Amino acid sequence: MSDSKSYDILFKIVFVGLSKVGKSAIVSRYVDNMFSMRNQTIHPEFHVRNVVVDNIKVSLQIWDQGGCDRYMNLGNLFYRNAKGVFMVFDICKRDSFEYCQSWFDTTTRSVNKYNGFKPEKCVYYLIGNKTDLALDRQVTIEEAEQFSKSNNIKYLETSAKEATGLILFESITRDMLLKHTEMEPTSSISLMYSKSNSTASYLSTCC
Amino acid sequence: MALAFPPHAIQAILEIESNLYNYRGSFIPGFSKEELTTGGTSSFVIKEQKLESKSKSRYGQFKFLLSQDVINIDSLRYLSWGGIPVEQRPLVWKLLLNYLPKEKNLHNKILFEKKNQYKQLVTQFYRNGDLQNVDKTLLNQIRLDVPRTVPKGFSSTKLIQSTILHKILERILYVWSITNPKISYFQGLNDIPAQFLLVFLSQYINLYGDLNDLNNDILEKVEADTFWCFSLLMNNLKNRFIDFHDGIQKMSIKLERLVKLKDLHLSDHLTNEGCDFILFSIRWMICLLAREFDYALSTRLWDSYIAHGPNFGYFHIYVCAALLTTKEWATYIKEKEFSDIIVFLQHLPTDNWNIYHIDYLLVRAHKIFLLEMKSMVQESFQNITDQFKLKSLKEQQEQKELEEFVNNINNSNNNNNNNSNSNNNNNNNNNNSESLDDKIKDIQSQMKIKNNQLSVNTNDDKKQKTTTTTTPQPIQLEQLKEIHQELLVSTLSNKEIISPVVMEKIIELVTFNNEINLLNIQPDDADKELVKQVTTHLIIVMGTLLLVSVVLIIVIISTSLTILALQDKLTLPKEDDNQSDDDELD
Repeated sequence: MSDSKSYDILFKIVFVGLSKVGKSAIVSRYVDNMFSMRNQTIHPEFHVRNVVVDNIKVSLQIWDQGGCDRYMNLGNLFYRNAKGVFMVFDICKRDSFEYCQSWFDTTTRSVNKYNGFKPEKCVYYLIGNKTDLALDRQVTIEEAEQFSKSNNIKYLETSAKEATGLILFESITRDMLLKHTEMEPTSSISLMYSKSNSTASYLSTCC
Repeated sequence: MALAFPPHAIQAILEIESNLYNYRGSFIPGFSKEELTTGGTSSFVIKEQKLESKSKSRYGQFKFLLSQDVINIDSLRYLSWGGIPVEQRPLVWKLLLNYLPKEKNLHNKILFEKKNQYKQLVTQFYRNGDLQNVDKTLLNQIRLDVPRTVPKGFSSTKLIQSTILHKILERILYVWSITNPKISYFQGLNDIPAQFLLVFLSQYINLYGDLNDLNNDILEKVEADTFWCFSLLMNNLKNRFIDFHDGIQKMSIKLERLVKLKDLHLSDHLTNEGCDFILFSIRWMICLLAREFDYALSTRLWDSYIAHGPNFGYFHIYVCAALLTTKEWATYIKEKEFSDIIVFLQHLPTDNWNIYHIDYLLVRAHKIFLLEMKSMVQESFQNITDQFKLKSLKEQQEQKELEEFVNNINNSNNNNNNNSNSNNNNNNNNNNSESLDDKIKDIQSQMKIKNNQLSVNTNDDKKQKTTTTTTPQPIQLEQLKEIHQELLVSTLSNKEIISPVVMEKIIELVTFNNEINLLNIQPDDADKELVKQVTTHLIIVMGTLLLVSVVLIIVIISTSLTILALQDKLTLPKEDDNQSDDDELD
């Protein structure tokens, strides 16, 4: 298992959201840089991407859940040990946004249902996808931002088709690393991260 | 048996297996490649020719069967299990799913009726897909998924992108979901009617070409056929999808158990890496492997499923287990860690697979079934023999204690002088009983059939009477004897599998036994029930055999005794004679 040493830390990220909002499209755009119409996702599809953020090698395990309610029932496996959650909605579909709201409320409320899925350990992002179809927009940026602010989570907009807004992966990785240093300040990764972070901030203030 | 493998399936598998061995090396990567390298090209060509003639004769067989006025469904079922020629597939599937009756002259009438019935259902429920009058969320979900239904190998064909086809699928799925509200629609279900649609369309058009040949009449026919065949197929799978979560869970547990039997190392590795079977097997279970193989291969696999009969869903799990334990893949998986394993299992490299890989897959599924049978037989045997052994040992111990007691009394009465001796005796007796306890434990842990014979011997009289009275069905003693012997041989010599001959005999036997109605029980329980029955029968037979041998021994002893007595009688007069001679001499 020499491969297991090729990264410093491993994070699990899960995607939730109604079907056809573009969860798999965002993932395949990020992992393979491809955009295509494809079969619907049935069970958690699984992708791995290794990235380097602030000199720390991070392996991202990206779990892409099928949008069908019945697959949500198999959730405990899916959410176990997740460190990052992307709630994706389609900006042209009102109900997909409402679904994200209700999902966030119910899931964070019944956190203990899922093993090890603790909200304070998790980083949540709200993602509005399909900005390429902004003409048909049904969810305004303001209301999405309002929801995310009131729940203290970040909101980003993307277009998997036009490959915009994919900064979200890097952004969530940084946030997860920060959370990690908060939760376990003594671990070697945390030390590395706080060190690199301080030098970065030092440099930025310098220049 | 209404189990995972009905007799016709086993028969077909044995034939496939023998065919595969005849052509080994050229197609199957798991086989030795010696033949290929030493045989050179000439033998390869001959083999291909042989194969062609083989498939031609199969084609002829199908043609003959289907040309009959009343089609023999049983032979068709057996023949179809090994694969159906492309041209005959649409008709054969309809026949095997009981959509069409075996009387050929009724076919047109029924097709017409069914078409009209379906039309009625569509007007009743679908109502032109007007969102005002229908279940909105259901139809919307189906509308999202239908354009995303892309059977493997059809990603850029005109057919799959055509809106006509999408509308057809939408109607079929919607009407079915409304008429089966307990299951209703779920993602992945769309792949199943899509497969039927392609097969039935292939009767009229080239699936990869343009769609000029399509006209309304064909489309209407195909749509109705697809709907009914899809419903009939789903009827067999209903149980496992009504409680979705539970059904999937059960299937993946069963899969895990089978993989464990076949490749313990693999299943251990998967568990250690945290790869829950459900993570990769859901898609296999829901789409019946249609997403894992090319259209040509998945339809071939479905030939076997449809020919298999109503329990094919159960058989499907064995196929999944065989798929997972594919040799090269298993060795790859064993070296990898979680992420790599899951990514691999979600994109199985089946692109270079051909029909023979599917044949081999089916053969391996059967092998796993045999492994399971063997382990179940052994388990059940052990359970029953353990009970026998324990009982007999207890009786022995009781007897020993009684003897001890009697001895002690005798000792104390008679041997007042030798107190020390009697103490020793007591100690010895205690030791004996302790060692008996140990023995019981030993036997519980390691049970051998030879011991079992002894135990049955000790209390055969009672047991035999009670067991025979509880089984009213006539048992074919001769057959049972044979099976019993072969089973003994196979368990003792630790063979990999029970020989197919034995299996067949067990199957034959089961048909005699009308007491258990196998159709009424769950296949899983049916297996256990069958094994239990067979093993109890075996034990009865063993008991009778031993009884006979005991009787024989008694007869021998008594005859020898009488002979001895006679000899004595004969010799005595001789002495008298001698004496009398002596007397005379005197």
